[in-house]
Amino acid sequence: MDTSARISVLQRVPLFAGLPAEALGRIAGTALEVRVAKNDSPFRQGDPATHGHVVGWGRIRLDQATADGQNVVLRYMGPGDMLGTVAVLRGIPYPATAVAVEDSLLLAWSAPRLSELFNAYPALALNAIRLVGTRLEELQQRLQEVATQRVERRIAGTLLRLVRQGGRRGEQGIEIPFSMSRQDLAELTATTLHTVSRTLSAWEQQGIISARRSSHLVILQPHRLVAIAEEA
Amino acid sequence: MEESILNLTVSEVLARWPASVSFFTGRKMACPGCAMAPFMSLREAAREYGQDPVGLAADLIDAMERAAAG
Repeated sequence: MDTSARISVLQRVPLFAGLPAEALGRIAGTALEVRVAKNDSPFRQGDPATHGHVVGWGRIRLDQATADGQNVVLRYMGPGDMLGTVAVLRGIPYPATAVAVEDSLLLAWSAPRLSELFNAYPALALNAIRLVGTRLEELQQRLQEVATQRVERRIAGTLLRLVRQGGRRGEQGIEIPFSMSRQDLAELTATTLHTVSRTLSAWEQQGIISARRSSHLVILQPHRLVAIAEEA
Repeated sequence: MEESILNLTVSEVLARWPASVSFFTGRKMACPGCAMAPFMSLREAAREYGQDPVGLAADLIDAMERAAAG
């Protein structure tokens, strides 16, 4: 990758936004090139963070292992995306493992080199704050989704328990004959009335249930409800 | 024969032929133990899994006859 190709990659990197061409030239000139074959890892979770990287070309997946050994895909990254940089700046180990989804090229800067650049170009610090803020916003969004999806599962599971306890076949579908308010359902599921109402309304719109009378739920698509209750 | 079996609920099928558990699991059907099994006919279950009901019933009869023959 020649310098002008590097510069055109760096122009897409939010960290380097608004820097003068001379600065981009210097940053591009000091980058190391790291080629990563498909399925290989340029760094692993827990390794000392020695370099900050920008994807030059290719695609990288960021995986994080949880304490109990489960793997979580944090995000996918493409040309212009930064990885490992925050760990370098904070002086902590890489918090995640990078895996090349396809043959990729990373531009990399060593920790001392990154410090030099941040001292030389204060705009980098401002950009970094914006960038970290954006990531934080993404994470908050995702946390909210995870929380919502989990409560959906719980509500579906509660309905299945009720079906086991007294469901009966009606003309339209499987009826839960208990006289039961949404508040009852919320307490059975350990969630809020608001969440139960919102979830049941969504399922009604999707044709999964019919809840025209609040005390009388009919499951129109049993298979889908089971799928929601059991989704991984 | 196929038609009358298809009108049974999945629970009735499982009660009548306990060996059908492995028939369902072999077809990646999560019917055994499902909360909905008492309420869904075998025909509905087949459709949910995108399988031809009559073909499924014929295979089930075959499998249960073979199981009974030991």
